[in-house]
Amino acid sequence: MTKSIRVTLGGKDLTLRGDNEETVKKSVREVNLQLQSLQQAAKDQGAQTLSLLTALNLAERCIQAEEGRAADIAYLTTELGKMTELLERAWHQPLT
Amino acid sequence: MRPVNAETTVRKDIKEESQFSPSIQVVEPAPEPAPELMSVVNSLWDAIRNGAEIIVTLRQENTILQTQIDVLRHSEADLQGKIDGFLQRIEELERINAGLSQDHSPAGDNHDGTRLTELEELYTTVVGERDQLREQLQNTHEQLQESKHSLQEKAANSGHVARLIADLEERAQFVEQLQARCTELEKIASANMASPESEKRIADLEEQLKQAQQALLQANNAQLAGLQNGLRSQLDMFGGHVAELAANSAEVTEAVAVRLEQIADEIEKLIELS
Repeated sequence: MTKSIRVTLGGKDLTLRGDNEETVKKSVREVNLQLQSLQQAAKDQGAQTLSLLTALNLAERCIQAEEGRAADIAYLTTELGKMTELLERAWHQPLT
Repeated sequence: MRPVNAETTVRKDIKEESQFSPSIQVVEPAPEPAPELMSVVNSLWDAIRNGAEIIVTLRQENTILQTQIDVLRHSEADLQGKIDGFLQRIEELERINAGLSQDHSPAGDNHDGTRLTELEELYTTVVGERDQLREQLQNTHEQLQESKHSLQEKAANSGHVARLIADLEERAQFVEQLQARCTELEKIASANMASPESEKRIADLEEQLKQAQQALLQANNAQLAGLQNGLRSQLDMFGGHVAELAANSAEVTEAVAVRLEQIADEIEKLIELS
């Protein structure tokens, strides 16, 4: 169910619309933390640049998470295949 | 790839547009699975290996049980067949029993009468075979008794022959003693020979003594030859024959002994006279 969510993002008060308020607020909190970190490290940079860098860092974390997830899926797929093969052998191999 | 931070963005010698260009990106190795995921997978591997061993064990036990089940089913089929046979046999016996009961009554039917006749014939046949077997057994027993007696007689004859041979050997020794005695008497006679009449008498006596010895040897040889022939031919018949030979031998030996004693007495008389 879509509803209005009031947040403060980069010092600006915004009213957003979303289905999961908790997820929206956590995302806003993460963006603000990333923005504040960049502001402290690069005080001479403008707001637009800091916003772009924040977006870039968050995008990179998202990609890393997707790659890790893909690696986990591949690892699980391989291991489950080996397990299945072992069980198949135990089930079908001739008995001594 | 580390997150972009302020340090990389504020470097004076690098423009902002080139900060994220491909030239500064580093090719990182393929990401490793999460450690907690690997730990869970390892635990799952342990469970899978144990499960595989259990599967193999269960399959082996299943094979053994299947074999035992097959054996039991086979035995069950055999027992069922035997039970069917027994039931059939019981029914048959009950039918026969019922037929015999009815046959004892005046109202027995022809079928039961026929069955009874067959049973009576069978009984008669069995009794006849039994009598024949008894007769054969009796004959065999008698033959065995005869064989036993024959063996006992043969054993007794063998002992009798052995005793006869020993007796003949003893007589041969006696003859040797007589010969020695004759030789001694000859020496005495030659030493005391005084008259021609005595010499002649001694010569006659010696001649008689030789004849008696020859007769004794011939009799003994005849007895031995008879014994050998009797032993070779038939041991059953040999007992009587040996008994006769023994009797003849005893008579001859006794006669020779008497004659030799007479000769000895005469020689002693001649010696006394001389």
